[in-house]
Amino acid sequence: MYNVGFIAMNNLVLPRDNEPQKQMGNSLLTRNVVKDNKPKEQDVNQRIAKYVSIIRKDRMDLKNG
Amino acid sequence: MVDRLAPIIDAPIAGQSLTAELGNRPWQQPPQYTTVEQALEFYIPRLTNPEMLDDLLNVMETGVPLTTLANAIQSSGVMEGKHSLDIGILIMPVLMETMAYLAEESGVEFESGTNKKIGSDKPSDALVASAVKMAEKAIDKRNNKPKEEEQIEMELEEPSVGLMSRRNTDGV
Repeated sequence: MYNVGFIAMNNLVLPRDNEPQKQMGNSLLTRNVVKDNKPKEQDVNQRIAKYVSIIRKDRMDLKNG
Repeated sequence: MVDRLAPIIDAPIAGQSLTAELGNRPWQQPPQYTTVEQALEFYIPRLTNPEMLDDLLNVMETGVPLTTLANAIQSSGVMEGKHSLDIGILIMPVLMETMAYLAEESGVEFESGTNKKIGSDKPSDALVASAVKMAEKAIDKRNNKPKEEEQIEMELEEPSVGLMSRRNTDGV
């Protein structure tokens, strides 16, 4: 039978952990680009993946003590 | 023993869904919750409700996969007009993960339903048909190859050695 839950769960792309940001130098010749740290509006799939990853992380913490 | 040849008499009659007035059914009305967040705010407290949680854990203990449970939960929500089918399918992974968390928390073993079974590595009929087609093409190609080589050989004529023939690069 067509298992919707299986497909929905397996097609979910979980977000990766944020990579550590590189420290920019403070010298005069460094690029003067201000990064916007405002959270961007995410797609609904990304939001669902984020929720799943949060709950899964808590579950793994619970499992591993 | 179930008699498979017996007619199914509890199934809906063909066209039964058209007998009610359009818009009378809850799923024919605009959904109550239009975003995944609203739908999850409706479901999560229900799942964690102690009365429902006991029943849910009992069902999980019997071996019913979480995919089936989540599908049943969201289908009932669609039938009640709580949310659309799209929202229901979108929130299914969150429902499954929440149920898995609750089961882990209570120490109940559960079947997630997302893992492929060991015996499920049998190729599908479509894959077999595709492989047969590819093999047939390869055989045809192999059978046709000598003919092509013969044609190429036919095209390569022996160089003439007459006085008016073009000289080779070697000057012979």
